[in-house]
Formats: sequence, structure tokens, C-alpha cells
Amino acid sequence: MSEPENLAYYIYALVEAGSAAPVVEGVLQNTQVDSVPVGAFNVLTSLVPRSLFDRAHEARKTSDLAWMAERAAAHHRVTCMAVREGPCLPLAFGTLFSSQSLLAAWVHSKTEKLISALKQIQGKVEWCVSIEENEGQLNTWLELNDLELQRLVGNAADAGVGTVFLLSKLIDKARTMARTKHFKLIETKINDRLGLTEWPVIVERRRDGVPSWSFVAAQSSGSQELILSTISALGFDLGPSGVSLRVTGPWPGYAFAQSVLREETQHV
Amino acid sequence: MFEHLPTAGSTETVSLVDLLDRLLHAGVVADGQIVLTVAGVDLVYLGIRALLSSVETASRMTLVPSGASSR
Repeated sequence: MSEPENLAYYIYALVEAGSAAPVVEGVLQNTQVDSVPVGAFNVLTSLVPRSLFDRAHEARKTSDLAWMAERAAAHHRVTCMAVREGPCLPLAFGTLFSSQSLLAAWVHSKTEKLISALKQIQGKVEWCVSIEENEGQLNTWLELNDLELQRLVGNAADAGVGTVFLLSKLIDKARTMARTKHFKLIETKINDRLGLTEWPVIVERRRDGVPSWSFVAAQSSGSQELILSTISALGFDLGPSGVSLRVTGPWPGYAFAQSVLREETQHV
Repeated sequence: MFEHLPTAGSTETVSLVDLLDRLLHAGVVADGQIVLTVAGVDLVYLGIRALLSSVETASRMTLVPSGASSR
């Protein structure tokens, strides 16, 4: 099979065989989304100029955040539409294949895993819980509740200028340690609570180490209410320390798909 | 165009920043997961990693109009 060298297949998701393409604009303006049979699945795809995406090409636009944001929004609209139509395993934002034969080879190489994943995600959506902090309120709370930090702050209050300067370094260090300890306790608490649910939980970390939690749950209003009430109850206890929990969703199974394919992933 | 990004649900919306966080930070992509599964073949991929720091910057900019919301 030969394709024009200047084009590539942008892949949104794998869906059940025979599924129609959602009627929505593709990742680029004026591009359509096609549903192409590949092995046991259909793949939602658009033909795009590879020069826009290829990092080796001068015409690439992948360092343009505004452009990328529009592409991300378009990618998301396609996957959301697909989820509403049936089971949908969203692939990575920015997944491109240079030919259908390579796409087919990839799908064939992991058909069983993909069938299993598509079955697991059927009728499910993904939710994400993240931690947000009010820095001022958190610092005040730490000074009141961490004994070492409390002691240092107390000493600084009665110290001379030079000593205060030295103590300020120790206070910063103690505050960082107290924050880390507090967040670790929060993480344990959330892990324990979510561990009691039937939702398979995926823990991800920001670059600063603060975790977020993703899980798939039934696509129903009852399930949604349970999720929101569970997280709300968890967040209630954290409020006084200036930490809150934020729920976003329902999402297509982005983190779920990543976790399924994680072992296939190497960073390049 | 970002005021009401849809969700997989019927009525909820999410903000652009949440979406970028989800698609970029959450690591659905890491320079293209596909490249990696078929090592050595000619695939195209995005250089998204360089954008990760920009997401935090974007969250401080007013990329999301006040009409956008998340749960």
C-alpha cells in the first residue's frame, strides 16, 4: 500500500469494527474524520500533511502553543463524539502513522490487548481527581500543626535580625518537609479511599511529584453522583489545611488507554 | 472556540487548560507512543515534550474565557 509521502494518518481512537466515523471536524480545519477498518477494529483517522507535525520538518507547528491547543481541542471533540457512540480507546494526542500498512502492523501486533481494553472501557468514562492548594492557607496551617515548624517560627519571633535570617533558612526547609509530609498523608488517605471502590485507579504525578488520580467508572448519572460525593467527602477534611480536591470529567479513557499501552511505550 | 469544550458526558464541559493538562501532562502522549511500539520504522511524531512547561504558563494566561467551566 502506498501513500503520498507528504501525508500521514492522524489517529484518534480505536473503535468497534463497523463503527461509523463521528461527523465532526478533524484535528485540522476542514479535514474529515474517517473510520477505517483495521483488523478487528475500526480506526478513526484523518489524513494530514506530515510537515505540520514532523519535528524534523521546518514547517512544523508543534511549538506553537495556540495552534497545538486548537489541535488538542479538535482531537478531544472527536474522541468525545466517539465515546458517545460506543466503546472507544483513545490513542495519544499526536499519534501519526506514515502508512496504513504500518498502522495495521501495529494493531495486529497487539490485537488481544486492544480487544480486552476496548471491552473494559465499554460503557465507561474516565474521571480525574487532582490536588489544589491555597499556598497561604496551607503555610499557616503547617505552622500551626507541624511541631518543628512551629518551634522554629516561635524562635524567630523572639530573635534578633541576624538570627532571624539564619532561622528563615531552617523555616523554609522545615516548611518544605512539613508540606511533603502532609501531602504524603493526603495521598495515602485518597489511595485508601479510592482503593475501596470498584474503580481501577491510575495514579499519575506532576513534575513536582504531586499526584493525581484517574479512574474509569460507569457512564451513568448514578455513578457520577457517587464519584462526586466520594471526592467531596474526601476533600471536606482537607479544607482547613488549604488543600482541596478537584474533579474533572467525564473524559474519554485517556489515562486508561495510556496505562494499557504503557508497557509498549519508550521515550525517544 | 474554547468556551465549551465537551466531555464524554452529555452536558458537562471542561476548560482548555484542563484539556491540555489531560492530553499533555497526563502523559497520554510521550513523543508519540506509537513510534516506540514499532521501533525502527518510519513514523511521524510530535515533539510535545517541549510544550509541557508551556501548559503551566497557559494556565496563568487567560486562555480560558470565563464561560468555560469544569466540575
